[in-house]
Amino acid sequence: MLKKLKDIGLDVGSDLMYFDDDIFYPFITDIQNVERGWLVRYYDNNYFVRNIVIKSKISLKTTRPWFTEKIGVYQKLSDLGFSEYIVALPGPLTIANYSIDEARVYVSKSQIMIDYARIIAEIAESYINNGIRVELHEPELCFTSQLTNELIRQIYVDLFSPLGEKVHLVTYFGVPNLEILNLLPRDLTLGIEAISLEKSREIFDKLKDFSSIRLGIVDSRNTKMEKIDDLISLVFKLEDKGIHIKYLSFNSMTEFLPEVIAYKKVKLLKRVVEAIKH
Amino acid sequence: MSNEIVLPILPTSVIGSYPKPWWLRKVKRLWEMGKADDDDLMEAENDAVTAVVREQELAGIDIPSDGEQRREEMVEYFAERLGGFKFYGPVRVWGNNYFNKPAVVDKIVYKEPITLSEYLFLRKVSTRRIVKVTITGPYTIADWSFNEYYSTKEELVKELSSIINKELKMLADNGALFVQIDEPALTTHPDEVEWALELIDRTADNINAKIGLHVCYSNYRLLMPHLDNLRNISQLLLEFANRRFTDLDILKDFPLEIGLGVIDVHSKRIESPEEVSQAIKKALNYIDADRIYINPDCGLKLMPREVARLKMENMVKGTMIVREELKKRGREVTIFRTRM
Ligand SMILES: [Zn+2]
Repeated sequence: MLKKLKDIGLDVGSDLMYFDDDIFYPFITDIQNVERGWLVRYYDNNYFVRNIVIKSKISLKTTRPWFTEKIGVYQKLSDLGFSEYIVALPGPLTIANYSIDEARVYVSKSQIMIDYARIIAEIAESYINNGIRVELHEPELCFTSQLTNELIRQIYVDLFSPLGEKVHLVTYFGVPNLEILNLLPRDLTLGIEAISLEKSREIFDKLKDFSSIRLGIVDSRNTKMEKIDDLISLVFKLEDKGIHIKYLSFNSMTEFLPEVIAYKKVKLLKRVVEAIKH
Repeated sequence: MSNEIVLPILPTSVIGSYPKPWWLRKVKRLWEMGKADDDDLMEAENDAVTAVVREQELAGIDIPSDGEQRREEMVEYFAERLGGFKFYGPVRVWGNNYFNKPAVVDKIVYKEPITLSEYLFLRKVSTRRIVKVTITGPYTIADWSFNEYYSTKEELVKELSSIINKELKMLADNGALFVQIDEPALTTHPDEVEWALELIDRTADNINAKIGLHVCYSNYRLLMPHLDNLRNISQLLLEFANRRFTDLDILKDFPLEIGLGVIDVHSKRIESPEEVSQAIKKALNYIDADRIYINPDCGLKLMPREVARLKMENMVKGTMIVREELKKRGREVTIFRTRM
């Protein structure tokens, strides 16, 4: 699959938001005291994940078997010669939302989020130290309404902000509300989908504050092909408004599309990038 | 109905799909390669239905289905037989399981009955008074398709709803007594649940048969506020074993019958009869036995056939344990209702 992407000229080699099993597994094999639970819907999709059952306080395993395996895979991929690599990890709010604290070891959901954040930040840092960017999948930011300043500070400002632009905080299935956008640190790369964006002027204006935006312009939840001219003018329009678009991407996981359409859309994305460069 | 049909209390059934015999899968492959003709395939499918209906009946199932032996996938099967759909290829659903997700590229057209011949054959081979036919509901067909044609999803669901109404009419006119509408997608978009349920219920307008609605692996609480509005649907069939029987409290003041999912269809571990009976007893804390049917969580097609068979056997054995206890209180039967 990646070889094919290289052939059509995509620069960033990644899982293309493509997961080994699901967004949480095998990632959680690096975490102490969790088990795979039962099947549940992943937000508003016909896509199911197994939730995570917390047995006791969670921590990062010292051996990190999945991370070690993944690093090996990326070393092999480097033979394909992409200029950059990116790995997909679950965001702390999203994984906490899909966790069941069966033994009631945590006093609150926030504590679970913070513990996951510590673990994920440590893994993210290890990837970055190996030259691999990190894509944090955080659709929960588009659904939650219960985030406090303090929680966002503890998670995103304290733990992820120091890692900088190499962390792509990717939101999808909607856009975070204004209050949440206000709280997020400006130095991460913020992934946001363009489709919902146009509906809200205020969010539009808020995005100017972020130093790096990854704009999801191609819809991975519909086979209908976007018109290239529409996409190009959208990107120009947003740039004119002062939004710092650093990356163009799909608006969510490509596994929602049949392969033939996914490739057509990857090519379309590539053509948009080329047209904008010229 | 003038003549009341009486069933043993806690009637047992299946959700629909059942593992296919290996030889049916083989004939299907030969047929795809052009090495078996349509008659060969039909014979194999008929034999498979006969076998799996018998297998369900031997396990003690009161209301068998044809195991959906002629279907590959629940949305694909209907999309292939209606006009207006196109297939681009598979997409991922969970783990490494894929689904051939159709795209609506034109106005949807009802060409001919889709499930009628399935029903007629099932009716012929089953010895049970009631058999179950499953139909994928309009909302799930719409939600599991890419929409390139209709301007809104609601419009697409409406169109599908009126088409499926014709299909249901055809089934009921030919004697089908129990049709289950499968809507696993129903709670996917919380803000669409209200109109979706209304359109699903309308799918069964003027149909003289029992209409069940199956939903699984999702947040059932979203449905609760709207159940009182249903005019045609008399039973909701829900998965509970997978979620380890959490959420059973929704059955308090439940306005419909519940098809209680007591068997996990994503695990090969065979539940014991005692586990099943305990699960039923848990549900009895919230809802009367007269309103409970017993079934697995969802279709059994992903299980090895022998595992499916043993699971059904134990499901019935577990039900029998509870029936024995109910019998001591003089409760042995329930009336087969088409309306609440
Ligand atoms: Zn189901």
